[in-house]
Amino acid sequence: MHKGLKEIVDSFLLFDSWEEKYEYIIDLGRELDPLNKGLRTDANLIVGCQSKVWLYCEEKNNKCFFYGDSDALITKGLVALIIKVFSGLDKDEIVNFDKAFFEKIGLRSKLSMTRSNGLNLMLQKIINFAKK
Amino acid sequence: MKYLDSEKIRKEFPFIVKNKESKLIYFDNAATTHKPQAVLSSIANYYTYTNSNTHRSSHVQGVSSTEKYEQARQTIADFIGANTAEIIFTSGATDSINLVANSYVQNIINQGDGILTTEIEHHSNFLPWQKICKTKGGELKMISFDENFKIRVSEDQLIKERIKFIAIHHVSNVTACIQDVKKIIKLAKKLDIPILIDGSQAASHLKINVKDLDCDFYCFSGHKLFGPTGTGILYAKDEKIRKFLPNKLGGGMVSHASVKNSVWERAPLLLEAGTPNICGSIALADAVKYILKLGLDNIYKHENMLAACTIDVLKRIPNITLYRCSESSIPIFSFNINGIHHYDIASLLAENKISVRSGHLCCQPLMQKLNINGCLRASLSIYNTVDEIEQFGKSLLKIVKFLT
Repeated sequence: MHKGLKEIVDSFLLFDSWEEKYEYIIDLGRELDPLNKGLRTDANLIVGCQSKVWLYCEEKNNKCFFYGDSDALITKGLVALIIKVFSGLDKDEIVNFDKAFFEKIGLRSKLSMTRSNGLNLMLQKIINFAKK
Repeated sequence: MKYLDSEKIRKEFPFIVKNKESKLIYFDNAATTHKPQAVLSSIANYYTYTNSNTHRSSHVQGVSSTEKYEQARQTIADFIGANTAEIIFTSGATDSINLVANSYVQNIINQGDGILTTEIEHHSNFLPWQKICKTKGGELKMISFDENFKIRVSEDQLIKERIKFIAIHHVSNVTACIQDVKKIIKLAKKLDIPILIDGSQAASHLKINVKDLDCDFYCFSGHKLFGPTGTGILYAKDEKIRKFLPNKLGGGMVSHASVKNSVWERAPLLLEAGTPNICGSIALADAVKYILKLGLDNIYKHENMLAACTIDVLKRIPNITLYRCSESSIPIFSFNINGIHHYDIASLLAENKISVRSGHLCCQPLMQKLNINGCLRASLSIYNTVDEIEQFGKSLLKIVKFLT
């Protein structure tokens, strides 16, 4: 388990209420590096989310890196969380990533259905990129 | 004063009963309502005791099925003041509008003709007209509306824009505005322009009489008035229904078929090709009977009371913008809290077990006109209570504080 992932698991284990969990997610969003305006394009927009989500993927020295943003606070936090989990991994690591991770940390069960779908769309884009 | 006994009503809705302990608050009734036991029993009873195809079989169950299906048509016809031959069972309001578009309107629109609608329409009463205009060289024209979302049509506009068809909502699914459709229909009649009224958000709240309105077409979905999904109604005036060219061909809609020629059945059967949603239509009629038992006057007064309470609660929320007709009695409330994304609020309301809608509400032209990317919508129904409204207000205040 890499450092970013361990940090998330440890944090989530401490939360009891929805307030704590969302506070953590929103804070992750606030700490996210701003997305270069040139990358806020329709090509990087994930279609199907109720809020706008941009996710840009690139590969450098056999490692994948992700950059993103959203116009909604909680979704932006989720983008940041996804980036924290996957950025810096190689393609094999992403493809073989434990799909049940988000259930295990109780993230999915704590989110309304559409939010889960948004999460699924982001995951799908990252996995598709890694499979190329 | 109580016009309806909401505690008694709540016990009649198994979904509400099942979620009593979790204290789920369902405020998404403009999207779909829950179903009373009477409707659920109707569905079970149909498949247990009747299940047979209609208008075909002469055996006992077949005859019984046809009788019940046609009785359902009679119930719906009585509900809106129509004749049975003018009632077409569809799969919903979207299906009803597309039927009018494909079987009638596209045959009367020529190059340069106008179809008149509004930017407030649900996509289902907008996209079919846009498509016809694109394929037939017509022009889609808009009716303007005031700051209270009331639409205004002039005789001058109808003439100048060569309007050949009008399609408008009765009640908006965003603004709750009850349009003065009778006045607009009168104007349309004066110039002999056929007019369709989308009653999707009206039929469970207001008394409808299509003869009194004198519209050519009126439609609504069954699932928004306590009936099953996949059911809907199109009322088409007798003189108009005769001009329909069926766009779905198949079983049950021909009186004679041979290699050389086929003769269509009489209306409305010629527009109901294939095995219809028999069970759904019968259950929809039972939903209508349920509404009539409660009384539309009582429903109107009860919902008016719920609407007033909700307005009081929403007024306490800082930085709120309501997109609502101030004169409306319909308990639909679309709003934004300045500086907070509607989706963030809807997500946290869901965490608090409060179901509301967020997004463009299938009304993107209106969202563009209001210069917003979406909003929240709380929509109430007969089983919602003042306590739920108070809880909604408290949760909303807490969430707004949390997100700012």
